[in-house]
Amino acid sequence: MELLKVSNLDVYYGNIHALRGVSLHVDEGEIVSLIGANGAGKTTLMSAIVNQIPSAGGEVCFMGSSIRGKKTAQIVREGMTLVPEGRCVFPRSSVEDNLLLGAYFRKDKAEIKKDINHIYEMFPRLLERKKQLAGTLSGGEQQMLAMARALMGRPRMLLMDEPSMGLAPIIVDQVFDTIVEINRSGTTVLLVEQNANQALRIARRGYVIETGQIVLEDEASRLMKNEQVREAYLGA
Amino acid sequence: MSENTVKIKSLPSEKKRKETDWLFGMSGKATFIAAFAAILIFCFLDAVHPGKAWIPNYVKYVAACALIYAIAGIGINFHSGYIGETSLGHAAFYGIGAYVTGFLTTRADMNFWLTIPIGMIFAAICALPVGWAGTRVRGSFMVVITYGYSEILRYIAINSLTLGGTSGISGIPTPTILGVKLTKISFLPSNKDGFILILFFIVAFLGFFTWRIVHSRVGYAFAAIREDSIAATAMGINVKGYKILALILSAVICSLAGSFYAGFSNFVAPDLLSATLSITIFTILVVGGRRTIPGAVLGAFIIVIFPELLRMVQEILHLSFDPWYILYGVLLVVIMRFKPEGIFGRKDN
Repeated sequence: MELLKVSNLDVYYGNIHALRGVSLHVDEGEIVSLIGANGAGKTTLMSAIVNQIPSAGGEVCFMGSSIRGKKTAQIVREGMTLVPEGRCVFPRSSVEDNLLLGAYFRKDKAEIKKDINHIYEMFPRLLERKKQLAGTLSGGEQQMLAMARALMGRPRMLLMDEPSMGLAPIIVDQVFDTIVEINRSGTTVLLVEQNANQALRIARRGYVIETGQIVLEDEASRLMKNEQVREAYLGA
Repeated sequence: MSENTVKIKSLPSEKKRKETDWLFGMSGKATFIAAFAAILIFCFLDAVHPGKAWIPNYVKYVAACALIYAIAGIGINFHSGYIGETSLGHAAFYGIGAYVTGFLTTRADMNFWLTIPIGMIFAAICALPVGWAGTRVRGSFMVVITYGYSEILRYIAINSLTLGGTSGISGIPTPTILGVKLTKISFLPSNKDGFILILFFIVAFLGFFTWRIVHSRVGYAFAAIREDSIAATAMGINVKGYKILALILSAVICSLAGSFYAGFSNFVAPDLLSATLSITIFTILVVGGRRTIPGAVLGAFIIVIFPELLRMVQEILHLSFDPWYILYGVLLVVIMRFKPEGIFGRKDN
């Protein structure tokens, strides 16, 4: 089933045509990776999908109904959560408060408690540091917290913007393993990455974006073998 | 890896947070609340006991001024404290309250108490455009917007004949309760007892109200927005809505302070909308401690009482200038240097 469908999305920053008719789709249960260089429009696309920035034309459908022009907060409530670039944890709140804020729009207190315990099982480091201010965590822990917090809203779909940004290689591995784990437990993932190797390794399908346009779309395994991709993104 | 990590000097988990014992082993806040209650009881007894008042009228006058500022301080706390914006224009809302009360009581013979909610509603409506503009900008731009807005209102007041122009509105009647003037709730004439008692209750109620809001879903949303508004949106929090709500809350409370000022001083003038007053209200909050309730009250007392003390110094030493203006600056610099989070503020918050 098609969970997210973006068709012919156009975004302008003033006179700059940042996204030129971008189309992509994500099926339920998939991990889809979107790779591209700096300034290709990856973050712009993510922000435009959740309407953090307005789009000039095109359509965004989530679970079959249009979400283009809906408020971000509303889109989150409907089950699509963005894990923003650069982690964006609440630095002066404790780890636990961060998680609780992730469940902000939910009213089922007992279930929230259950979910928090589940999160602590999945991320034992967060349990160790649950009273610590999120701003004092290491970069990797903050990324884990950002993902865990997003899960607290029980999203059907997670948009992840550069989860590996600024992290040490060993931590990057952990982050990607976690993404796979999140996906196995039933959350669909659209992943935006510069680290194309890792992103394509865990994904089922992939898109390549260049200067605001989707230039390639294929199974992730085939993209990894593609000459162009290997040369431009995989450093082969 | 750590370049994005916020550096905070002491971690709460490493060093257990211990509030200083201020009095009888009570925490600073408990001491503050106890002192507040004691003063309230003392003022009440002073008002009702027959015979000569214990507290001189002058002290009561100063205290009432401070309490009115304390209300404004609690008000601006929602905007410049809890939601993390900065406003140098809250005199606008204070002035709206004062002018609505002044205008309606003198020109329409309306009851003082009725003008308060009208002023509040009017302040809320006037806050809407500022709030709307404020959702589109951040940080220092909000300072300019709020400042500009209060200046607009000031020039309207100066140039409006109905509002009395530069000379303002005088002859605002002193509010009454059951036909008794607030200044007469006492056995002595021309006393400010009634004002102090009511203002004390209002400050206490607003303190409680703020505390309830801060520990509710609304308060958590404020905290999230303050710490990272993008992440807050990603949590399903309506950032724009809450930002406007915070401004409206603060505008309504500042308007209440302004209404009382009008009834208390019997006079309003365009000065009430000036940047000086805006800065004073903001300073009260910063000196006392942003996001603290006792701080907003104590800050008001410091800002009001210090010039009065220094005026005495001026009289005693026969100085030709008012030392307040110099020492005021020194005081602010010293507090910001040694306790930048304000008197009641906490470092990690």
